[in-house]
Amino acid sequence: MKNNVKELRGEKGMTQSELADELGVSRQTIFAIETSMYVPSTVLALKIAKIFKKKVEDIFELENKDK
Amino acid sequence: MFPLGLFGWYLIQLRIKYKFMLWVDDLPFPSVPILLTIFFFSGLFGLYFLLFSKEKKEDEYIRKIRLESFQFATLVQILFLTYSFIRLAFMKDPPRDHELMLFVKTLFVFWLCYIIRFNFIMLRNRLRIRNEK
Repeated sequence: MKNNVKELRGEKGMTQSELADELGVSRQTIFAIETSMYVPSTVLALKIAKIFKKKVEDIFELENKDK
Repeated sequence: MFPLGLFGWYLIQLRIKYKFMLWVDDLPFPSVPILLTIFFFSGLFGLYFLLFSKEKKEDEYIRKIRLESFQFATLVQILFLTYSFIRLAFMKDPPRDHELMLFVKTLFVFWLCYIIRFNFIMLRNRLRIRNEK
């Protein structure tokens, strides 16, 4: 699964630490999500979507290998 | 607490083989088993404190790393046990306390593998995010 959290964060001018603080997770988690090392839970994905005021499917996208 | 306990326990175990610290044996009877017990359990409790200490932010990603580290440690423990039993089967003259040592080694192999793997992943991630904004 790929995502554009890094781009959206850049557009909003947020640092990883700021996003992590808003979500209540560690900075490592944000890094792992951005580099696709980790697929977040539904709750965390919804929280991310809420912060960026987007739909979850606009942020997270299935890749061919996931289908 | 953990390294000190383990080191003390191991030192007392090795004293007979390598002939040092023999003054320990001159102490009145229950002293050696009591010393061994104190060192062993202080090492073990130190290890448990290390294991169950939480990260500053214990979130779902860290819990996932913990779970994967448990799985890894279990796999290593099974391989270690299999190897040890095969070795025991072909051993002509196994040492008297072989079973006890195997039990202790198995216990420590599991927890040490867990700690090493978990901290390795955490350290790797910390180094990776150092250059990120």
